[in-house]
Amino acid sequence: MSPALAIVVAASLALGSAAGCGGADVDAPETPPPKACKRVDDHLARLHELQATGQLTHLADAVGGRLPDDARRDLLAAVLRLLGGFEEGTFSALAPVLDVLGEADGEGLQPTLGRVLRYVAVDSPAAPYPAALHDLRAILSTCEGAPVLGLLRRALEDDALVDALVAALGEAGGLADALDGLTFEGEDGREALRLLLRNLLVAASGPDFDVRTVIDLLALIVDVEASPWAELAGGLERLLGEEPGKSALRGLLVCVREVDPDVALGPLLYDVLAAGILTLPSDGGAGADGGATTGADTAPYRALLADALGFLEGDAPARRALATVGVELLRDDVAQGVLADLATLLSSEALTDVVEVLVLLATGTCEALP
Amino acid sequence: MRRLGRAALAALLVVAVAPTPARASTYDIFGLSARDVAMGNAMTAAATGYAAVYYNPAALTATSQQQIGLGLTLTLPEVYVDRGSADSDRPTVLPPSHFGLALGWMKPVPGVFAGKLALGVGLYLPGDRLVRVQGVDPQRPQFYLYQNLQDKLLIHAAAAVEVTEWLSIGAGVEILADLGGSVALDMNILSGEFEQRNLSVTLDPTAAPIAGIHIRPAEGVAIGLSYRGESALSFHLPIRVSDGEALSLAVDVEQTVLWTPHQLSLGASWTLTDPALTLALDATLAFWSGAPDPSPRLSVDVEGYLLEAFGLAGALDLSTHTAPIAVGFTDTVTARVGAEWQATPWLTLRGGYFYRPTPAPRQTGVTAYLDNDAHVLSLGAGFDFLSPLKEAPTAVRLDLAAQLTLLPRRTALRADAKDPVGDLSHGGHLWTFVMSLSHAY
Repeated sequence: MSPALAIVVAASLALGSAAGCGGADVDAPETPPPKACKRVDDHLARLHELQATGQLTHLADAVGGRLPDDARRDLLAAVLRLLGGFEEGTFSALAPVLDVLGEADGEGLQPTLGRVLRYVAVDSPAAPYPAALHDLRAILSTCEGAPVLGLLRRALEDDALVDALVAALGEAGGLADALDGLTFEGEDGREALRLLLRNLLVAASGPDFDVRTVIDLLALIVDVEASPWAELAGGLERLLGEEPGKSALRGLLVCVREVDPDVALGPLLYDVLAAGILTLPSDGGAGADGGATTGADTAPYRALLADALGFLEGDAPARRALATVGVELLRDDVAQGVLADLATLLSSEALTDVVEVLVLLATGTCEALP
Repeated sequence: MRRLGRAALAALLVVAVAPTPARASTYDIFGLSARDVAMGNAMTAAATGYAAVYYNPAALTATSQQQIGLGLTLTLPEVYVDRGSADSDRPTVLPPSHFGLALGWMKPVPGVFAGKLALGVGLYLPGDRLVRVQGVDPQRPQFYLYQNLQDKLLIHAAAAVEVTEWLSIGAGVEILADLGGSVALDMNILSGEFEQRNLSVTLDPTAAPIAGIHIRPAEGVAIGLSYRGESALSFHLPIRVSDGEALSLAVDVEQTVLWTPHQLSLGASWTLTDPALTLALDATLAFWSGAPDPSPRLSVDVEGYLLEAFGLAGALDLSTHTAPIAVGFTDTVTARVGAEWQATPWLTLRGGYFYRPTPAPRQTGVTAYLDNDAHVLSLGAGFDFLSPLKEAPTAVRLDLAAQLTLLPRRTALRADAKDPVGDLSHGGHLWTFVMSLSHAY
């Protein structure tokens, strides 16, 4: 290499070093850190554990293995339509009162429903009530659902009726004693209730049927002049005394009589009411502020349920999908396992977590709920 | 050997009246250089120069000079599809105009291999895109052969050995690539952010074989036999979006496109000195019965414990794999004839014709892969120039060709009266113009 060339090379290297090229001494541009949000997996840990430990196997196998593919798709499509049909703000409104679903000491609505299902499926001496399940399948596949769903929706929208019903269920211990002493047409207890219900169904077919028939039946069991039964009776009169409630009730009772003339559902109803498992506290459970649950606490949930019932009332394919699924899941060879799994699901309150995720999605936030 | 050459030519004359097969890449359908196009692509025995890498690699040894070449191809389709259903929601797809650039090079290897070994390379570059993977819905009327088979980068490489004075063998490859990859995204749906993003795309080269034999039984007589292997581009891209284990969406897209069938060609050429006339005949058997469905194969899989817990896993799954489409193509035989006349030392005139029967059945079922029988007429001319850089005999050649592909009208009456496509009639014509510039030295 010639001296001139060497000088040029050395000068170039020196100049390059002096210019300080390269990123060794430069910090990377600042970018906003990722949001510190819990994952969906973290929110649904209870559900994931149930699924991973096989506690929902009967339910999953029944839905996944017994239902035809088009029935599963129809069900999922119905669920997606339901979720898409909620009015804006429905889930956001749940945010302040989300804790109401997660009741303390297993006395909330979910655990109570769970106990009922487990009693019917497993714990009761007559479990799993095959005759009653048979009649339930017949009701699902035969009876007109839209009027009944409308009836339930209007019931949810009646705050006073709901409050009275919750209060009445909170006194289930007293109801159990009353049923134990029930006598009708020479029969006691369980058989007496069955005969009472049969008479109700017969009366429903008559021209003079009205809601007083139902209230008179209730009067044979409890004191309908005393609170909360008086308020409950008043609510029933508002709901069922006029159209369309009157026709809806009558239509349901006539249909039930056709599929269940011997009232096989009666013993099931008696056993559930008499077992002392309906232990909803009289104040409905822990309120959002730590005190007693108020109508304001439950209003967003009732609105959600009412919207869901309204959707089903107006969507015949969704009703058909649910009826198809219900009939399959209540078949004799799978019903016991399915009901037990549903009981587990409700008792674990895993569905609360699902609602919580929906609320977070609706509110567009991942911050901790109050 | 001369008696053998005349007998072979006679046999091929019989074959010449047989229908011709459909071709697949732009070389298959239209031809490589202007000379080849002008002579009806009857080149299995008559190929010279770098064009032999495609038609018959063994013919590389027939040229004693090194050669480079450049070509431009322009195709102008004027085809039509008359629809019986005016308000169908399956619109017709018509092939666009196309132009491309061809490059070629061949070299007789000197030294100890002088006169015995030759190498050749060919490259075709589509003018507007190197490769296009296009999967049109099979129910949309589309011209199967002309829609996107020209959107294909072609690379050929070959070598030939002169075994004896009258026999050469050659082999080569057509190089294509499979397109693959994967996309995996992990998102937190509650924060609306992607927590992990991974993507990869790969081009995996594939090769289809080309082989040939070139026999020169007598002065001015050549017989060629060549084989071109099946080639295709496979595209596979799985995409997965998940939010932990709760819910995931997997979309899998697969497709096989730019497919060309196995082809076996037999050709013969006969060159006279006075007049300076070359006559070429060719027959090609193309195995179209192996044609795959070119439409995309898709599957959508939604899973996660949010669905599995309630037995709903698979309820949202969709797949086209359960209903594969059989295109029902049939093998075809094509015969071609071409002629070349050196009118003056600097002017050569050419002409050719071939009849290509369609491999596609009448589209009376679900699919609408249209194709017609084709009458292909071509004319061309070659102009020889002295090298502009130095004195040399016939150093530069300019070849021009024009090809007219006539598609007689064909009608398909759909079997299902409620078919969304409706009855079809299709046909038209395509013009192809090729210009090639080559330099032998």
